[in-house]
Amino acid sequence: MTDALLTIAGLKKRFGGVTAVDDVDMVVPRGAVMGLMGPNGAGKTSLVNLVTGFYRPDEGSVLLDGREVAGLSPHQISRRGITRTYQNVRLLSGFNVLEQVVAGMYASRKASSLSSLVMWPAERRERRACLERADELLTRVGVTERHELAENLPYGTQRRVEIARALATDPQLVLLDEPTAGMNREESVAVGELICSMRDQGCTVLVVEHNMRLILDYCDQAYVMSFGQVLSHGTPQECVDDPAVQKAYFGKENDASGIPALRELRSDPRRP
Amino acid sequence: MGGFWDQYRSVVEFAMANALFALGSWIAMWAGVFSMAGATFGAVGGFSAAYLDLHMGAGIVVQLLVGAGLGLGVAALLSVLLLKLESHWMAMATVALVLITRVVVLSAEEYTGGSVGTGVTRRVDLVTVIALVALVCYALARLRRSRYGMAAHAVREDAAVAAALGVNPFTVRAVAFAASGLVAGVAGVVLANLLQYIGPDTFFITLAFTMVAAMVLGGTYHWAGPIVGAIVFVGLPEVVRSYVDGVDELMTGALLVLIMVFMPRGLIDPRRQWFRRRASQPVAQEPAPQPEVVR
Amino acid sequence: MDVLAQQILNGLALGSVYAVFGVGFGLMLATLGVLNAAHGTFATWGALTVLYLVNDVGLGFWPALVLGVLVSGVMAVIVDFVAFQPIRRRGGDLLPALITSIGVWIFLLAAARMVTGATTSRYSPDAAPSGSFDFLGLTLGRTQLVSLLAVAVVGVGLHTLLHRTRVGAAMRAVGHSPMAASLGGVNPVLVVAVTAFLSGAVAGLAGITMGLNTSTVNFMLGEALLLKGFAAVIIGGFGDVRGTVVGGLLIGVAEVLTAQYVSGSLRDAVTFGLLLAFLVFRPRGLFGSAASMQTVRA
Repeated sequence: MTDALLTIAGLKKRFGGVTAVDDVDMVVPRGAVMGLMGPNGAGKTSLVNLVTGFYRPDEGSVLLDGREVAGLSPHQISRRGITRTYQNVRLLSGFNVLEQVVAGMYASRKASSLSSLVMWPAERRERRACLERADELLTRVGVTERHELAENLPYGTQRRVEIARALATDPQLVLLDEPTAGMNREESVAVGELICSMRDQGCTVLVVEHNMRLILDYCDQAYVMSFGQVLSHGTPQECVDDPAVQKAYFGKENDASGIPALRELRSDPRRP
Repeated sequence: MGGFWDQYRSVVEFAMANALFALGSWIAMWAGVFSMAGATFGAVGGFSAAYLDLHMGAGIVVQLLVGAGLGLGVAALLSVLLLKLESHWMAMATVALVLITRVVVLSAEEYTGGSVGTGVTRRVDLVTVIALVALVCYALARLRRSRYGMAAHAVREDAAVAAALGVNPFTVRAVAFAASGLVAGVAGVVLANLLQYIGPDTFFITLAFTMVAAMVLGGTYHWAGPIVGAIVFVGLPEVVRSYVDGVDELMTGALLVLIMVFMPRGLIDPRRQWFRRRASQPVAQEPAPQPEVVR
Repeated sequence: MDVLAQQILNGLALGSVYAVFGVGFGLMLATLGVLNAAHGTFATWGALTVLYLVNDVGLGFWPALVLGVLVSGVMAVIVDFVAFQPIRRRGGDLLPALITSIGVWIFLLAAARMVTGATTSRYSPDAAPSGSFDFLGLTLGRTQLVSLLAVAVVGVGLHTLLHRTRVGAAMRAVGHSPMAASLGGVNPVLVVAVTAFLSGAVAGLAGITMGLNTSTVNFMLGEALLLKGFAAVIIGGFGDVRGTVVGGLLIGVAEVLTAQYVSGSLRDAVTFGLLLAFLVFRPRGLFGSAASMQTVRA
């Protein structure tokens, strides 16, 4: 891999007797949309938690742009350029939609609290710039609401706001943890398009998904995890075709029932 | 109006002093730290004011500055010890701190007067007290949507999410705790001046309970909450007492339970519709409902 | 040496009052999730009931004690129903329940001051146990014996109840998750009521023995108990009856020995210093498990 943004090597995390992430190696190239699949309990979310510093790894390294981030705290990792969304949307109660996104600009805001106190021009300018930028980001993710409390919005919109908030941190790498969970087909497609637009704007994206259609349609490459280990790696199609993956997903190797359904996914016209 | 002020001047003064304490607790709560240590910082401010007054004849400005500084300093030191605790243990540890404060006041006799307490020359007037409350409110209103203010709210709502947005929750909490010490230190100076006598029981559990009850009663989601809470919780019973004797405390207790049961988010709740109406006037909305489709 | 032994005995007697109160306070904290600021007033009202029954009605001390304990228990059930249930039902955490308990505290304290007229009395000496006897060469007051017996009965009784009976299992389950308890076929409302009753009754017993030992009953009686009982619960590790008993006894002994050998004014310093040290450096206390800390968080 010539230009790896994220390089994970020998990553391990145990919880009591269970090894949630077991010796995982993974490379995410710069500018890629990388899929991460796997059955429930495969350790996908644990991996996200390790990369973002929510968990401290027991062993192994996580390199962002060649610099070690394993062992740093979440806010340090965030400032290095890794951010995430959550499986169950975690917006900040009490903020309206714009404020949710402005909250993501903490690290890049420069005006001091002292200048906030007297509302110096610098602070005014910065607040206006933040709101404008939040407005742009929200437009980009397709959210029209601005002053509503985010908790009153429909679930799909909340997910978009969460993505806009993640983008507000100016990330190099965004980890999306099941961005289409609980969404219908059209909404999922819209999220897929959004992921592509994020990539085109220079973000590298790692998508954790159950929804194989999304991975097949929008990811350049994919990893499949099972029981904490990497089971397969390649293009999404190669992963789906891998007998080991089929076994992990459908229990036995020759269960034909699920596979044609998976193949069908290929025929989505949106795929180039 | 003049009659009202003459009759209730001291009620307003004490309500405002308690509002300062409640604001101090609220500042910690802003970042999700439930603390009763305001009584401790109040003691630091109050006894330092008494000492300055008694031994140096220092004026109110010096007293306030010293009280604020000492409150800030003590809170900053304690934050290192306390803030690593899980939230409920932290809350209980601040109770323990208040209990120990009384012991310290009793044993540091040469500075505090021990069990006898110490007198203070009154050097504040109503205008000063109201001005102090207004100053704190001004600062909080300015900071509400500032870089720090948003971070504090984020840490309170979800510290892990805040961290993933680049906010260091520990720093934010430590700053909030130190700032709450500053305001409580000022409140201690004010209370000492209003009471004109402070002793070991002045800055004790009752005050600690009063400030958190006023804060929660008024609402912990907006800085106006603690002020409204202090007026209702401290001012109202005083007014009632001047008409009917003996029932004011029963009423206060019952009122607190009722409000918490029926208005759990307090009297001032920014989520409530009438409060948001002004904020949610729609701005010019350009039609951009579709996500950008790139390919 | 004799002085030391005697003082340790005195300390145990004092500590047993703290321990009994702490067991009740801790029961409410660990199983009902309420850091109850009003718990001291339950003790006060138990003592005031006995005071009334013994001095004004002329009832014997022991029947009065039983009635006093009942009054405190019922009071706790009513308070829980009025002030804590609505908050628990909403799934609120420690903070709102603490605030309503402050409201209850203000109310019951003011009511106690009104009925006593803020005067201090004592149980009529004709009725209440008094005097002392020789115990292994040491002097043991009959009132001290009562509080030592109380801690033995409450400690063993409650621990057995919690760990050996179905009701006790249900009470512990309610502490961990009300849902789990109701799934187990237990009526959670009843279990909560029983728990509240026991925690209030035990506090009442502590208040009554406190009044007996200090020969003072006034409307502030429960306040000192509240602070010391809180310390006993934290130091012992809450959610554990044995821990609280040991914590209470330890505080009592530490206080008496400090007063004897160091300085009377440092009594509270020792207790509250220990309290803070435990909260900061060993929050689970002497006997508590990490699991019992989860209860309060829920």
